[in-house]
Amino acid sequence: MDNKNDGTVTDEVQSRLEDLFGESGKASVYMEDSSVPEDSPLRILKGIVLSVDWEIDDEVMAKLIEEIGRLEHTYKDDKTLLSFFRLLGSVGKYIKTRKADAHPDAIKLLNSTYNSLEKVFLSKGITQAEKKETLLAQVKEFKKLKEQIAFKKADTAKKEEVKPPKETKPVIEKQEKDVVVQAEHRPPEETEEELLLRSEMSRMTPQEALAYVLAELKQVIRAEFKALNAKLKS
Amino acid sequence: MSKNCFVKCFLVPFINLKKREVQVKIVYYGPGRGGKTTNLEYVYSKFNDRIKTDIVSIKTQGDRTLFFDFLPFNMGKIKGFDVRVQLYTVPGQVKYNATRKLVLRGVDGLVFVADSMEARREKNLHSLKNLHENLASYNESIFKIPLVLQYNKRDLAEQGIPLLSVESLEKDLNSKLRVPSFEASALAGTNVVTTMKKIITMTMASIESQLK
Repeated sequence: MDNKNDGTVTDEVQSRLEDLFGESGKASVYMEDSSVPEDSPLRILKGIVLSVDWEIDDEVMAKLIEEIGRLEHTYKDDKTLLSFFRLLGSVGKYIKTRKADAHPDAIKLLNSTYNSLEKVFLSKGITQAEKKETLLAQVKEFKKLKEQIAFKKADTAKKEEVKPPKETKPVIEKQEKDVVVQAEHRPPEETEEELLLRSEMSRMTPQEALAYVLAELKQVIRAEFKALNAKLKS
Repeated sequence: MSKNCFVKCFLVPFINLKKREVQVKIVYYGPGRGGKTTNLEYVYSKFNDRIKTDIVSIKTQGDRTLFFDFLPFNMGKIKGFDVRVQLYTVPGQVKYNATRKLVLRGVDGLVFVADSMEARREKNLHSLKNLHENLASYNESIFKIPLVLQYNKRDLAEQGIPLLSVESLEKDLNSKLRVPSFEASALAGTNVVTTMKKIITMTMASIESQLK
Protein backbone atom coordinates (compact mmCIF):
# COMPACT_ATOMS: atom_id res chain seq x y z
CA MET A 1 0.00 0.00 0.00
CA ASP A 2 2.96 2.23 0.23
CA ASN A 3 3.88 4.71 -2.39
CA LYS A 4 7.03 3.53 -4.08
CA ASN A 5 7.96 7.02 -5.28
CA ASP A 6 8.88 8.64 -2.00
CA GLY A 7 10.90 11.79 -2.36
CA THR A 8 10.92 15.48 -1.70
CA VAL A 9 7.95 16.22 -3.93
CA THR A 10 5.95 13.62 -2.05
CA ASP A 11 6.88 15.22 1.26
CA GLU A 12 5.91 18.64 0.00
CA VAL A 13 2.62 17.36 -1.44
CA GLN A 14 1.77 15.56 1.78
CA SER A 15 2.53 18.62 3.83
CA ARG A 16 0.38 20.80 1.56
CA LEU A 17 -2.45 18.28 1.67
CA GLU A 18 -2.26 18.24 5.43
CA ASP A 19 -2.58 22.05 5.46
CA LEU A 20 -5.62 21.90 3.21
CA PHE A 21 -7.36 18.78 4.43
CA GLY A 22 -5.94 18.17 7.89
CA GLU A 23 -8.55 16.25 9.82
CA SER A 24 -6.94 15.69 13.17
CA GLY A 25 -9.45 14.20 15.53
CA LYS A 26 -12.32 14.38 13.07
CA ALA A 27 -14.44 11.30 13.55
CA SER A 28 -16.95 10.31 10.94
CA VAL A 29 -20.23 12.16 10.94
CA TYR A 30 -22.11 8.92 10.94
CA MET A 31 -20.24 7.49 13.92
CA GLU A 32 -20.84 10.68 15.87
CA ASP A 33 -24.51 10.60 15.12
CA SER A 34 -24.93 6.92 15.65
CA SER A 35 -26.57 7.36 19.00
CA VAL A 36 -29.44 4.94 18.65
CA PRO A 37 -29.12 2.34 21.43
CA GLU A 38 -28.88 -1.28 20.34
CA ASP A 39 -32.26 -2.12 21.85
CA SER A 40 -33.99 1.00 20.51
CA PRO A 41 -37.22 0.38 18.57
CA LEU A 42 -35.90 2.84 15.96
CA ARG A 43 -32.71 0.94 15.21
CA ILE A 44 -34.11 -1.10 12.33
CA LEU A 45 -35.84 1.93 10.86
CA LYS A 46 -32.61 3.94 10.97
CA GLY A 47 -30.77 1.18 9.13
CA ILE A 48 -33.40 1.11 6.42
CA VAL A 49 -33.50 4.90 6.04
CA LEU A 50 -29.70 4.94 5.65
CA SER A 51 -29.95 2.16 3.08
CA VAL A 52 -32.46 4.15 1.04
CA ASP A 53 -29.90 6.92 0.87
CA TRP A 54 -27.60 4.50 -0.92
CA GLU A 55 -29.96 2.32 -2.88
CA ILE A 56 -33.60 2.53 -3.85
CA ASP A 57 -34.80 -0.95 -4.64
CA ASP A 58 -38.04 -2.82 -4.10
CA GLU A 59 -36.72 -4.91 -1.24
CA VAL A 60 -35.44 -1.97 0.81
CA MET A 61 -38.55 0.08 0.14
CA ALA A 62 -40.83 -2.82 1.10
CA LYS A 63 -38.87 -3.20 4.34
CA LEU A 64 -39.26 0.51 5.02
CA ILE A 65 -43.03 0.46 4.56
CA GLU A 66 -43.31 -2.71 6.64
CA GLU A 67 -41.21 -1.31 9.48
CA ILE A 68 -43.14 1.96 9.51
CA GLY A 69 -46.38 -0.05 9.67
CA ARG A 70 -45.05 -2.02 12.62
CA LEU A 71 -44.04 1.15 14.47
CA GLU A 72 -47.37 2.84 13.71
CA HIS A 73 -49.10 -0.08 15.35
CA THR A 74 -46.78 -0.08 18.37
CA TYR A 75 -47.13 3.67 18.97
CA LYS A 76 -50.75 4.10 17.93
CA ASP A 77 -51.54 5.96 21.16
CA ASP A 78 -48.81 8.58 20.78
CA LYS A 79 -50.21 11.14 18.34
CA THR A 80 -46.91 12.92 17.69
CA LEU A 81 -44.97 9.74 16.98
CA LEU A 82 -47.83 8.41 14.91
CA SER A 83 -47.77 11.57 12.79
CA PHE A 84 -44.02 11.19 12.28
CA PHE A 85 -44.46 7.60 11.13
CA ARG A 86 -47.26 8.61 8.79
CA LEU A 87 -45.07 11.32 7.30
CA LEU A 88 -42.25 8.84 6.79
CA GLY A 89 -44.73 6.38 5.30
CA SER A 90 -46.03 8.92 2.79
CA VAL A 91 -42.56 9.95 1.66
CA GLY A 92 -41.48 6.30 1.58
CA LYS A 93 -44.41 5.26 -0.58
CA TYR A 94 -43.72 8.11 -2.97
CA ILE A 95 -40.05 7.09 -3.31
CA LYS A 96 -41.07 3.45 -3.68
CA THR A 97 -43.31 4.34 -6.60
CA ARG A 98 -41.03 6.78 -8.37
CA LYS A 99 -37.68 5.19 -7.46
CA ALA A 100 -34.81 6.95 -9.29
CA ASP A 101 -37.31 9.39 -10.78
CA ALA A 102 -38.39 10.60 -7.35
CA HIS A 103 -37.86 14.27 -6.63
CA PRO A 104 -34.29 14.67 -5.29
CA ASP A 105 -35.61 16.40 -2.19
CA ALA A 106 -37.76 13.38 -1.28
CA ILE A 107 -34.79 11.39 0.02
CA LYS A 108 -33.52 14.44 1.88
CA LEU A 109 -36.97 14.80 3.45
CA LEU A 110 -37.01 11.13 4.43
CA ASN A 111 -33.68 11.60 6.19
CA SER A 112 -34.58 14.86 7.88
CA THR A 113 -37.94 13.46 9.04
CA TYR A 114 -36.18 10.45 10.49
CA ASN A 115 -33.61 12.65 12.24
CA SER A 116 -36.38 14.76 13.77
CA LEU A 117 -38.20 11.63 14.87
CA GLU A 118 -35.03 10.33 16.47
CA LYS A 119 -34.58 13.63 18.29
CA VAL A 120 -38.15 13.52 19.58
CA PHE A 121 -37.89 9.85 20.45
CA LEU A 122 -34.55 9.82 22.19
CA SER A 123 -34.12 13.25 23.76
CA LYS A 124 -34.68 13.13 27.45
CA GLY A 125 -36.66 16.02 28.91
CA ILE A 126 -38.04 17.25 25.59
CA THR A 127 -41.39 18.92 26.20
CA GLN A 128 -44.61 18.11 24.36
CA ALA A 129 -44.56 21.60 22.83
CA GLU A 130 -41.04 21.05 21.49
CA LYS A 131 -42.09 17.72 20.05
CA LYS A 132 -45.01 19.36 18.27
CA GLU A 133 -42.82 22.16 16.99
CA THR A 134 -40.36 19.63 15.53
CA LEU A 135 -43.20 17.73 13.93
CA LEU A 136 -44.74 20.88 12.46
CA ALA A 137 -41.43 21.85 10.91
CA GLN A 138 -41.33 18.49 9.12
CA VAL A 139 -44.97 18.77 8.06
CA LYS A 140 -44.12 22.15 6.56
CA GLU A 141 -41.25 20.59 4.62
CA PHE A 142 -43.54 17.79 3.46
CA LYS A 143 -46.11 20.30 2.17
CA LYS A 144 -43.36 22.21 0.42
CA LEU A 145 -42.22 19.07 -1.37
CA LYS A 146 -45.80 18.24 -2.34
CA GLU A 147 -46.18 21.69 -3.86
CA GLN A 148 -42.90 21.32 -5.74
CA ILE A 149 -43.98 17.98 -7.16
CA ALA A 150 -47.42 19.30 -8.12
CA PHE A 151 -45.86 22.34 -9.75
CA LYS A 152 -43.42 20.19 -11.69
CA LYS A 153 -46.23 17.90 -12.85
CA ALA A 154 -48.31 20.84 -14.01
CA ASP A 155 -45.31 22.35 -15.73
CA THR A 156 -44.50 19.09 -17.52
CA ALA A 157 -48.10 18.62 -18.58
CA LYS A 158 -48.19 22.16 -19.90
CA LYS A 159 -45.00 21.64 -21.89
CA GLU A 160 -46.36 18.42 -23.36
CA GLU A 161 -49.65 20.02 -24.33
CA VAL A 162 -48.17 23.13 -25.85
CA LYS A 163 -45.71 21.66 -28.31
CA PRO A 164 -43.99 24.20 -30.54
CA PRO A 165 -44.88 23.82 -34.21
CA LYS A 166 -41.30 22.94 -35.23
CA GLU A 167 -41.48 19.84 -33.07
CA THR A 168 -44.91 18.95 -34.36
CA LYS A 169 -43.69 18.01 -37.80
CA PRO A 170 -41.32 15.20 -36.84
CA VAL A 171 -43.93 13.84 -34.44
CA ILE A 172 -46.46 13.77 -37.21
CA GLU A 173 -43.93 12.21 -39.60
CA LYS A 174 -43.28 9.50 -37.04
CA GLN A 175 -47.01 8.95 -36.73
CA GLU A 176 -47.18 8.54 -40.48
CA LYS A 177 -45.14 5.37 -40.24
CA ASP A 178 -47.48 4.02 -37.62
CA VAL A 179 -50.75 4.93 -39.27
CA VAL A 180 -53.08 1.97 -39.64
CA VAL A 181 -56.40 1.51 -41.34
CA GLN A 182 -58.19 2.41 -38.13
CA ALA A 183 -56.46 5.78 -38.04
CA GLU A 184 -59.77 7.58 -37.87
CA HIS A 185 -60.66 5.83 -34.63
CA ARG A 186 -58.12 7.51 -32.41
CA PRO A 187 -58.39 7.49 -28.64
CA PRO A 188 -60.14 10.58 -27.25
CA GLU A 189 -57.03 11.89 -25.47
CA GLU A 190 -55.10 12.07 -28.75
CA THR A 191 -57.89 14.04 -30.33
CA GLU A 192 -57.86 16.44 -27.40
CA GLU A 193 -54.15 16.88 -27.82
CA GLU A 194 -54.62 17.68 -31.47
CA LEU A 195 -57.30 20.17 -30.60
CA LEU A 196 -54.96 21.84 -28.20
CA LEU A 197 -52.29 21.97 -30.87
CA ARG A 198 -54.74 23.50 -33.29
CA SER A 199 -55.67 26.13 -30.77
CA GLU A 200 -52.00 26.99 -30.65
CA MET A 201 -52.08 27.79 -34.36
CA SER A 202 -53.52 31.16 -33.61
CA ARG A 203 -50.19 32.00 -31.95
CA MET A 204 -48.08 30.78 -34.88
CA THR A 205 -46.49 32.90 -37.55
CA PRO A 206 -48.13 32.40 -40.99
CA GLN A 207 -45.10 30.35 -42.17
CA GLU A 208 -45.27 28.09 -39.13
CA ALA A 209 -49.01 27.67 -39.52
CA LEU A 210 -48.60 26.78 -43.20
CA ALA A 211 -45.94 24.18 -42.38
CA TYR A 212 -48.20 22.74 -39.74
CA VAL A 213 -51.20 22.53 -42.08
CA LEU A 214 -49.08 20.92 -44.81
CA ALA A 215 -47.84 18.29 -42.40
CA GLU A 216 -51.41 17.63 -41.29
CA LEU A 217 -52.58 17.28 -44.90
CA LYS A 218 -49.72 14.93 -45.69
CA GLN A 219 -50.71 12.76 -42.78
CA VAL A 220 -54.40 12.65 -43.80
CA ILE A 221 -53.55 11.80 -47.44
CA ARG A 222 -51.21 9.00 -46.38
CA ALA A 223 -53.83 7.56 -44.04
CA GLU A 224 -56.41 7.70 -46.80
CA PHE A 225 -54.11 5.92 -49.24
CA LYS A 226 -53.31 3.23 -46.72
CA ALA A 227 -56.98 2.72 -46.00
CA LEU A 228 -57.69 2.49 -49.74
CA ASN A 229 -54.87 -0.03 -50.23
CA ALA A 230 -56.17 -2.12 -47.40
CA LYS A 231 -59.66 -2.10 -48.90
CA LEU A 232 -58.35 -3.10 -52.34
CA LYS A 233 -56.34 -5.97 -50.84
CA SER A 234 -59.32 -7.30 -48.93
CA MET B 1 -11.75 23.64 -17.37
CA SER B 2 -8.87 24.29 -19.70
CA LYS B 3 -9.31 23.11 -23.26
CA ASN B 4 -5.70 22.00 -23.12
CA CYS B 5 -6.77 19.43 -20.59
CA PHE B 6 -8.71 17.63 -23.31
CA VAL B 7 -6.23 17.95 -26.13
CA LYS B 8 -3.11 17.01 -24.23
CA CYS B 9 -1.30 13.75 -24.76
CA PHE B 10 -2.86 11.07 -22.59
CA LEU B 11 0.27 10.10 -20.70
CA VAL B 12 1.64 13.54 -19.99
CA PRO B 13 -0.10 15.70 -17.39
CA PHE B 14 -0.89 19.25 -18.32
CA ILE B 15 2.23 21.24 -17.49
CA ASN B 16 2.78 24.80 -18.55
CA LEU B 17 6.50 25.37 -18.12
CA LYS B 18 6.26 29.01 -19.08
CA LYS B 19 3.64 29.79 -16.48
CA ARG B 20 5.02 27.11 -14.16
CA GLU B 21 1.63 25.47 -13.71
CA VAL B 22 0.68 21.81 -13.29
CA GLN B 23 -2.87 20.53 -13.68
CA VAL B 24 -3.59 17.16 -12.14
CA LYS B 25 -6.71 15.28 -13.18
CA ILE B 26 -8.05 12.68 -10.77
CA VAL B 27 -11.10 10.62 -11.75
CA TYR B 28 -13.35 8.73 -9.35
CA TYR B 29 -14.56 5.62 -11.15
CA GLY B 30 -16.86 2.78 -10.11
CA PRO B 31 -20.33 1.28 -10.36
CA GLY B 32 -23.48 3.39 -10.22
CA ARG B 33 -24.72 4.34 -6.75
CA GLY B 34 -21.32 3.38 -5.35
CA GLY B 35 -20.60 6.75 -3.72
CA LYS B 36 -18.29 8.57 -6.14
CA THR B 37 -20.27 11.78 -6.05
CA THR B 38 -20.64 11.46 -2.28
CA ASN B 39 -16.84 11.42 -1.99
CA LEU B 40 -16.58 14.76 -3.77
CA GLU B 41 -19.56 16.20 -1.94
CA TYR B 42 -17.99 15.28 1.38
CA VAL B 43 -14.71 16.99 0.46
CA TYR B 44 -16.58 20.04 -0.72
CA SER B 45 -18.91 20.29 2.26
CA LYS B 46 -16.10 19.78 4.76
CA PHE B 47 -13.39 21.94 3.24
CA ASN B 48 -14.99 24.49 0.95
CA ASP B 49 -13.92 27.26 3.31
CA ARG B 50 -10.30 26.19 2.79
CA ILE B 51 -10.26 25.25 -0.88
CA LYS B 52 -12.49 28.21 -1.81
CA THR B 53 -14.02 26.69 -4.89
CA ASP B 54 -17.28 25.30 -6.20
CA ILE B 55 -18.37 21.81 -7.07
CA VAL B 56 -20.04 21.46 -10.44
CA SER B 57 -22.57 18.64 -10.71
CA ILE B 58 -24.73 17.73 -13.65
CA LYS B 59 -27.42 15.37 -12.46
CA THR B 60 -30.52 13.66 -13.69
CA GLN B 61 -33.87 14.24 -12.07
CA GLY B 62 -33.32 11.18 -9.92
CA ASP B 63 -30.15 12.63 -8.44
CA ARG B 64 -27.83 10.41 -10.46
CA THR B 65 -24.67 11.70 -12.12
CA LEU B 66 -25.54 12.22 -15.78
CA PHE B 67 -22.36 13.71 -17.06
CA PHE B 68 -19.85 14.30 -14.31
CA ASP B 69 -19.06 16.09 -11.08
CA PHE B 70 -16.11 18.39 -11.05
CA LEU B 71 -14.27 19.80 -8.05
CA PRO B 72 -11.15 21.84 -8.80
CA PHE B 73 -8.86 23.33 -6.17
CA ASN B 74 -5.42 24.90 -5.93
CA MET B 75 -2.72 23.29 -3.85
CA GLY B 76 -0.44 26.30 -4.03
CA LYS B 77 3.20 26.19 -5.07
CA ILE B 78 5.08 22.91 -5.02
CA LYS B 79 8.69 22.93 -6.24
CA GLY B 80 8.02 26.32 -7.79
CA PHE B 81 4.98 25.12 -9.76
CA ASP B 82 1.38 26.16 -9.13
CA VAL B 83 -0.47 22.89 -8.70
CA ARG B 84 -4.13 22.71 -9.55
CA VAL B 85 -6.00 19.51 -8.78
CA GLN B 86 -9.20 18.60 -10.61
CA LEU B 87 -11.38 15.88 -9.13
CA TYR B 88 -13.92 14.31 -11.47
CA THR B 89 -16.50 11.59 -11.15
CA VAL B 90 -17.93 9.54 -13.99
CA PRO B 91 -21.54 8.37 -14.32
CA GLY B 92 -21.58 4.82 -13.01
CA GLN B 93 -24.56 3.50 -14.93
CA VAL B 94 -23.59 1.06 -17.66
CA LYS B 95 -25.32 2.99 -20.44
CA TYR B 96 -23.12 6.08 -20.05
CA ASN B 97 -19.86 4.54 -21.25
CA ALA B 98 -19.22 7.20 -23.87
CA THR B 99 -19.30 9.85 -21.15
CA ARG B 100 -17.02 7.77 -18.94
CA LYS B 101 -14.49 7.47 -21.72
CA LEU B 102 -14.61 11.18 -22.36
CA VAL B 103 -14.07 12.03 -18.71
CA LEU B 104 -11.18 9.53 -18.54
CA ARG B 105 -9.33 11.31 -21.28
CA GLY B 106 -6.21 12.94 -19.89
CA VAL B 107 -6.59 11.31 -16.48
CA ASP B 108 -3.51 11.34 -14.25
CA GLY B 109 -4.79 9.33 -11.30
CA LEU B 110 -7.78 7.15 -10.47
CA VAL B 111 -9.85 6.22 -7.45
CA PHE B 112 -11.99 3.15 -7.97
CA VAL B 113 -14.93 3.39 -5.59
CA ALA B 114 -16.20 -0.14 -5.04
CA ASP B 115 -19.55 -0.87 -3.44
CA SER B 116 -19.12 -3.13 -0.41
CA MET B 117 -22.69 -4.43 -0.55
CA GLU B 118 -22.79 -8.14 -1.24
CA ALA B 119 -25.42 -7.63 -3.90
CA ARG B 120 -23.06 -5.34 -5.80
CA ARG B 121 -20.19 -7.76 -6.30
CA GLU B 122 -20.86 -8.30 -10.00
CA LYS B 123 -21.25 -4.57 -10.63
CA ASN B 124 -17.84 -3.89 -9.08
CA LEU B 125 -16.20 -6.50 -11.27
CA HIS B 126 -17.97 -5.24 -14.35
CA SER B 127 -17.01 -1.65 -13.64
CA LEU B 128 -13.36 -2.48 -13.02
CA LYS B 129 -13.27 -4.44 -16.27
CA ASN B 130 -14.86 -1.47 -17.99
CA LEU B 131 -12.18 0.83 -16.56
CA HIS B 132 -9.49 -1.53 -17.81
CA GLU B 133 -11.02 -1.51 -21.31
CA ASN B 134 -11.57 2.23 -21.44
CA LEU B 135 -7.99 2.91 -20.36
CA ALA B 136 -6.77 0.44 -22.96
CA SER B 137 -8.64 2.39 -25.63
CA TYR B 138 -6.30 5.29 -24.77
CA ASN B 139 -3.29 2.93 -24.85
CA GLU B 140 -3.00 3.22 -21.10
CA SER B 141 -2.65 0.37 -18.64
CA ILE B 142 -4.60 0.00 -15.44
CA PHE B 143 -1.43 -1.53 -13.99
CA LYS B 144 0.66 1.57 -14.62
CA ILE B 145 -1.59 4.51 -13.84
CA PRO B 146 -1.73 5.72 -10.21
CA LEU B 147 -4.76 3.99 -8.74
CA VAL B 148 -6.35 3.67 -5.32
CA LEU B 149 -9.22 1.38 -4.40
CA GLN B 150 -11.88 2.49 -1.98
CA TYR B 151 -14.23 -0.08 -0.44
CA ASN B 152 -17.17 2.15 0.28
CA LYS B 153 -20.30 1.79 2.45
CA ARG B 154 -18.59 -0.09 5.27
CA ASP B 155 -20.96 1.69 7.70
CA LEU B 156 -23.86 -0.38 6.41
CA ALA B 157 -22.55 -3.44 8.26
CA GLU B 158 -23.84 -1.90 11.47
CA GLN B 159 -27.30 -1.81 9.97
CA GLY B 160 -27.26 -5.54 9.30
CA ILE B 161 -26.88 -5.15 5.55
CA PRO B 162 -24.78 -7.99 4.12
CA LEU B 163 -21.41 -6.68 2.99
CA LEU B 164 -18.53 -8.29 1.17
CA SER B 165 -15.57 -8.86 3.45
CA VAL B 166 -12.47 -6.78 2.81
CA GLU B 167 -10.61 -10.00 2.03
CA SER B 168 -13.19 -10.88 -0.58
CA LEU B 169 -13.01 -7.38 -2.11
CA GLU B 170 -9.23 -7.55 -2.17
CA LYS B 171 -9.36 -10.93 -3.86
CA ASP B 172 -11.91 -9.78 -6.41
CA LEU B 173 -10.48 -6.41 -7.26
CA ASN B 174 -6.95 -6.07 -6.00
CA SER B 175 -5.28 -9.45 -6.32
CA LYS B 176 -3.61 -8.47 -9.59
CA LEU B 177 -3.49 -4.71 -9.22
CA ARG B 178 -1.93 -4.62 -5.74
CA VAL B 179 -2.64 -0.93 -5.22
CA PRO B 180 -3.44 0.96 -2.02
CA SER B 181 -6.95 0.27 -0.75
CA PHE B 182 -9.11 1.82 1.96
CA GLU B 183 -12.29 0.85 3.71
CA ALA B 184 -14.55 3.86 3.70
CA SER B 185 -17.92 5.42 4.23
CA ALA B 186 -18.26 8.34 1.85
CA LEU B 187 -21.56 9.30 3.43
CA ALA B 188 -19.96 9.57 6.84
CA GLY B 189 -16.66 10.85 5.51
CA THR B 190 -14.63 7.95 6.86
CA ASN B 191 -11.39 7.67 4.87
CA VAL B 192 -12.65 9.96 2.12
CA VAL B 193 -9.84 12.43 2.68
CA THR B 194 -7.29 9.65 3.26
CA THR B 195 -8.19 8.17 -0.12
CA MET B 196 -7.93 11.55 -1.82
CA LYS B 197 -4.62 12.42 -0.18
CA LYS B 198 -3.18 9.08 -1.22
CA ILE B 199 -4.15 9.38 -4.87
CA ILE B 200 -2.91 12.98 -5.11
CA THR B 201 0.42 12.04 -3.53
CA MET B 202 0.82 9.03 -5.81
CA THR B 203 -0.13 11.03 -8.88
CA MET B 204 2.27 13.85 -8.09
CA ALA B 205 5.06 11.34 -7.54
CA SER B 206 4.20 9.69 -10.85
CA ILE B 207 4.27 13.05 -12.64
CA GLU B 208 7.64 13.82 -11.11
CA SER B 209 9.06 10.49 -12.24
CA GLN B 210 7.73 11.05 -15.78
CA LEU B 211 9.49 14.38 -15.92
CA LYS B 212 12.84 13.04 -14.77
